[in-house]
Amino acid sequence: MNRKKFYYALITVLLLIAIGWGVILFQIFMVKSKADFYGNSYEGEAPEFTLSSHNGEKVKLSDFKGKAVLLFFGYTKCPDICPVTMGTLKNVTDTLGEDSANVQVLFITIDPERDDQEKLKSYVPYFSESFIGLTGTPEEIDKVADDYNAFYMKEEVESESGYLMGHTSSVYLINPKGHFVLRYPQNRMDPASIAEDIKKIL
Amino acid sequence: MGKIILAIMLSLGSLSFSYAEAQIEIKNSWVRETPPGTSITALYMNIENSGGEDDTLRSVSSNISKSAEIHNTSVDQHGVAKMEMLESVLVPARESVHFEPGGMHIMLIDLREPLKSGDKVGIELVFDRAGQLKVQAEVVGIGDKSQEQHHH
Ligand SMILES: [Cu+2]
Repeated sequence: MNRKKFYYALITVLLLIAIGWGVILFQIFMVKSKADFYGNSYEGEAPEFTLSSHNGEKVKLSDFKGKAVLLFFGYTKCPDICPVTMGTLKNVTDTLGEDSANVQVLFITIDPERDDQEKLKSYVPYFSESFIGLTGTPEEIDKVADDYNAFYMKEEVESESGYLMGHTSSVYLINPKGHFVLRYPQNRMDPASIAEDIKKIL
Repeated sequence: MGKIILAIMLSLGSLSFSYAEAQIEIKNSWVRETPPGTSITALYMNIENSGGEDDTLRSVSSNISKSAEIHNTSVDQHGVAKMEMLESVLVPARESVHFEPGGMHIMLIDLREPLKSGDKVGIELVFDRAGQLKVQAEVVGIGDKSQEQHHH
């Protein structure tokens, strides 16, 4: 009988050790896989939205389930950070080659007063035929930006350009299941590294 | 003895150099091609001051657009990008100042014609010391990868 007890004790101890190792390995793996990404970790459900595309169709985020989505808020009358970022996203899809078929770039205007469907139709495809520009009523845009913690405002500057906008300039990466995974601020805009991240989540 | 005289002459020479006027040169200037339907763009360049005196970029003008302004893009800790107008830009002695994507740029507003890759455009810069300088900048297309490598 003592022998049986001993075996029970041994098995329990071995099990505990195994579980302990499991937890440790799991944590190492999780930390490592997060650190392996170039973008900043940004997790959660990506809120659904419905906006109008530059082709005049109603477009929902869930239409792109199964694809990775790169989302950027900007405006067409922005001569510096917006074309720079759109050019970077074009480089990302070029770098991805065949995989780019599973990636959708969305440009949401935060200047719906000036950026109507026609404006977006000439602007967005210039960077890539596959990119989609999205606009809506000021209220709709307001809601989406709010849901995405994106900020924008008209700036009180005496510029001859009418008005300038300040806006969140980070790019969001949403995985094929519709979850946020990463965010790229302007100091993390290396196209090859972004492409590497996308390959990992596809 | 000869060596000492040479040393004195050299040091005098460098002294007189430090009183020299600002010497401004504009390098690597380029303008971003305009996406269809837009009439606004940005010009980038390096301003090199090889002289011994600080100089200041005071104003910019161009014939190709209704107006030209000195701007700076900055991104705050929340990732919000903003552009602000600058009254002037100091170019310290023996230093260069970089105008590049995501930073300082000359914003060309209400272009008279769309700009196509390969075009050349002229703008004028006015410095306090160096006076008026004409710049010929090449228009660079968005597909040209070299353009975004200037970033940061
Ligand atoms: Cu500007």
